[in-house]
Amino acid sequence: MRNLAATLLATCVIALGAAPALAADTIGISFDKIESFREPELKYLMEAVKKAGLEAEFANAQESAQRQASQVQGLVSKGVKAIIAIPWDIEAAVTLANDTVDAGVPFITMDQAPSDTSVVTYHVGSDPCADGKAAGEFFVKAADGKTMKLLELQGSLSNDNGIRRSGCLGEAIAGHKNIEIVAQVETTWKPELALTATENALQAHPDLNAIFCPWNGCLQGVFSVLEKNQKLKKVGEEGHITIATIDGTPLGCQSIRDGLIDIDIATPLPAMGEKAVAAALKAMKGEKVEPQVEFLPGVPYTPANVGEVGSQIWGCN
Amino acid sequence: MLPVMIIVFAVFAGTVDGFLSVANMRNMALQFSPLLICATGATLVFLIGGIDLSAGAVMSLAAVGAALVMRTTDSVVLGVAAGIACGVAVGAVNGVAIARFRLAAFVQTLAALLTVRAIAFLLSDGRSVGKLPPLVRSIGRSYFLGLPVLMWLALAIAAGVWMLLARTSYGRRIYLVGANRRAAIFSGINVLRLEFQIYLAAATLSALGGVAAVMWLGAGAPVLGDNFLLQIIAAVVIGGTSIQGGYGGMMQTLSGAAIIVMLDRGLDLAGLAYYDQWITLGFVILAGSALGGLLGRLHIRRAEKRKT
Repeated sequence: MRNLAATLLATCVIALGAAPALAADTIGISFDKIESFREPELKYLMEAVKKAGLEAEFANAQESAQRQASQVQGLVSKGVKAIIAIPWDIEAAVTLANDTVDAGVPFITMDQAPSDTSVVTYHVGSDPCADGKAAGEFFVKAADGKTMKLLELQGSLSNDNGIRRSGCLGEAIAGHKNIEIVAQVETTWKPELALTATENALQAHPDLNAIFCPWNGCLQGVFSVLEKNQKLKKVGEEGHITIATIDGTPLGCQSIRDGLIDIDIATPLPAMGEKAVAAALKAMKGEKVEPQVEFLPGVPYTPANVGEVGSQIWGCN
Repeated sequence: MLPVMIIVFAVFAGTVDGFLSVANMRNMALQFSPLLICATGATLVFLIGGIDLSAGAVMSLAAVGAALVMRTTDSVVLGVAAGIACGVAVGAVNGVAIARFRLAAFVQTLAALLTVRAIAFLLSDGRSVGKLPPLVRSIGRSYFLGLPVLMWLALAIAAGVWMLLARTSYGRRIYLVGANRRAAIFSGINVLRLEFQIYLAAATLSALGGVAAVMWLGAGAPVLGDNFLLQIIAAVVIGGTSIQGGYGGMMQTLSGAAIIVMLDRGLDLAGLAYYDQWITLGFVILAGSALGGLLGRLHIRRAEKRKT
């Protein structure tokens, strides 16, 4: 029995190895999840960390507020000098920020704003309102006074990006009576729900001629429905359905290059990562970070100018 | 599972920097508390040979209900009462459906999982409920004799259930119902009433676990319990309580819950990626079960030798 226990113990020790202690200037990075958009976000953040001469310890909460709370507290107990987090639960993030700051560790949030940004050391995110407004203004320009029947796919109405992208799109097209939103569907950022919503909207409104896709992830579903209904036409072709989207992922860029969508508003991921790390560095030195909250507008690009501005779009490189 | 728990602790203590720090111990204690409370209820259900798939959803509903009442009334007491009431209501429905109307526990609690989770989403509009009275955070961060108050609450509940199972005739009835329902009926036990009480107690404890999580996190989200169901069942099963009923108990669940939390924190601190952690957890479940089985056989063999 003792032999078995010793063998098991030895196996575990060998498998784990001795986990090294943290380097002097290490920051903790806590993401809400890892998926196709978070991967490049992490890549750019890690590049900024390396450029700043820092080390980083990463933790993935995989869509659990409890796990994120434990992980952040774990990183603090390991002695990280600052936390950069994308919160999963925007309300629980307030408690998490208070605990971390009380422990003397700066707490920086990125991309997803907590419900109260006054408790964090610094927040940087894309400007969901500016992006939604830019998409709305594009639809107004594209309609050019003619009738436009628009399907508005929404992200999740339980997070800041979803709420404000939708709200500010609505504000931009309000007062333009020629644009009618024939359906608003919350997809909770799930591509399969975007596909179903597009299918349903097209059945109910065969004359649908515009779609707002609030994140690039819904494009595949939309394309698949349009192709099935022989409505996937290139920009400028007869019967083309105007599509505006947000993110600037490789899929978004390819769709622009293929002429399948009219506009993509690229989230400035490299700038977001750089600003978060710069704020962490400043706070680690005990300096106040100002402004405390920054929202960075996205970079709009179209099939007409992707050749010129493509170098600024993270998904095109 | 005690030997496995000791091995896991020894491995992390010896290899992972910061595992033995006070901050990490307190962190693990906080994570352990809601899990142990819910797993206590699940242990009772497993002991009678049942299953409660709605445990995570009840946690979510109780968390949302408690947080909404706390935010609206600014009263923590009323919020806690509301959270517990959610559990009592769901437990009563589960109990009546399973004990009185003989619905299969799997089917009834699966239906409850879906319905209760949807109610939690409807009540909160799918959003996490925050901006709670400051007392919530104070309770969540209070310590007594170096341990979080939430941990004391969980240990008190576990100790109470341990006493019930090990020291009372009611506890013996629970084991008998799980081991042999027919024999329990013939021996005069009101099995239907006992089953009703167990499902009521399990849902109430899940709700209490949800309220404890609100105290810890400072918010109640309708997705709070989504990741918990698997952990609750794993804690009971890894501990060694039989899923067929009649065998197991609180000490097993205590060590099962401790193993899960230590693995979670230890592997995180060791820097293992999320999915690598799940692979390791699977390995430990298998190795632990094999070790548990071997120990059990050795114990029986020694007892037989002593007899001869």
